[in-house]
Amino acid sequence: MPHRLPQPPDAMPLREALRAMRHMLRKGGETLIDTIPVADLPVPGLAGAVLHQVEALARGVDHVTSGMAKLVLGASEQRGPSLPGIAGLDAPDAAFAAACYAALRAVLSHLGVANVFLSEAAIRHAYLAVMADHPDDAEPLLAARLTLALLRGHVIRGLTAVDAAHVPGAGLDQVAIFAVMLWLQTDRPEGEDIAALDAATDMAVALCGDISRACAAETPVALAALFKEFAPRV
Amino acid sequence: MSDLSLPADLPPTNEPLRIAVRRMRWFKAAFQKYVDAAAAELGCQFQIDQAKLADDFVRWLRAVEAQKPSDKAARREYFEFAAGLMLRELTATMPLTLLSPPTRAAPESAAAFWPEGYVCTLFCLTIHAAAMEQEFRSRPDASPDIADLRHWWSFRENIAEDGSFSVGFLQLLLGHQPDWVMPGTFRTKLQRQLVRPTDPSHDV
Repeated sequence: MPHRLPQPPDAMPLREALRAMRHMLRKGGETLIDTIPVADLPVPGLAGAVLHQVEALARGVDHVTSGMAKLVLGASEQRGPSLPGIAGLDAPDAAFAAACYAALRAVLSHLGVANVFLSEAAIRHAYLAVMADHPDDAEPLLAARLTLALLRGHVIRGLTAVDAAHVPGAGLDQVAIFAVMLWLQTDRPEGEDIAALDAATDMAVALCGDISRACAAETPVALAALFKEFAPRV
Repeated sequence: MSDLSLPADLPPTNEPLRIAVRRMRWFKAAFQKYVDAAAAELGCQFQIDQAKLADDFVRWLRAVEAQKPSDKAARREYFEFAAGLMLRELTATMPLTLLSPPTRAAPESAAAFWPEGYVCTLFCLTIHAAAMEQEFRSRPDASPDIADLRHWWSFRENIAEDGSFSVGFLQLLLGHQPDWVMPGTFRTKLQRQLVRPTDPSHDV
């Protein structure tokens, strides 16, 4: 009787939980320590130890995600990840979420925003929802639908007013997500992935007014037109 | 005619230069490399405002695409016009800030008078020369006017009132008759549109 190996458990929920815990501890560390009756804890300095442990674990999962993104990057010998390339993989939702997570983290860092929470689960959910309804859309339109779905899914969480001030004239989440989706449509050799992502980010900031207007429209058409116009120019 | 007087190394690319220059990542890399080389040559320091540079690039791209002629016979002329538009956008926001004055530029030179404007102008001329060489096998030289400080005085003063003056200034530096009336409009395309016979179907 043939024996089928069990599927490995999905590690994404665990990563998500660890990142959420890290984000919460970083953002609210002082508040947490003020709130929790630390004096009542059995081990002095436990809060600090927990923070340290969670930081280490979260760094570990980030490293794994980065590795996954590189695996996706390496899926094609000629170019970095692309929407059609990802759609052709065995687990496109997981691959998209990993690549998008890593790219969003890099974009936000380029914009000077460090301490926000990115939900890989929400990215994956948005991808699955869009691909279920529009699997055959042309790349710019698909990218536009994904952009809007990622925005609706609030994949970037915990942005402050100080963060938002980095991109006056548009939502920072709109600009960051646009940059990643633009980058995914860019024809580039693998060696230029980082330069292309930086360029896509700068371009998105320069287009922040257009992006804001396109995101406010009822349909993804204006956003798709922006992608079509600028993807070959990154 | 004289050679362009700053180093002209541009980043490598597998694409034709006319394509590469319309890619943000190549444009940024080229500008950075050129400014670094110019700063070393002039003995000064510049800071590049990347946000302004990105703004300039996007505006230039849109301006170039909007006036792109369909007639291939106009390509050569359009290359020069596109370089002028690039200078117009760069001088409109000026992405360079001078951090320390040139120590190796002659006191009465354009480089000493306005280092940021000089470097942006030479960058546009360098890109133009490289593209012309690749596409038409002819490398343009700069006109002797490039050494005439009066032109630079006029350039700097006039662009404060009309940014399109930059387009005419670049034509002047390339030894051509500048279009001072509508410098920001590609005349060849406009002229062809004006002389095109009226479509009879549009007659009332």
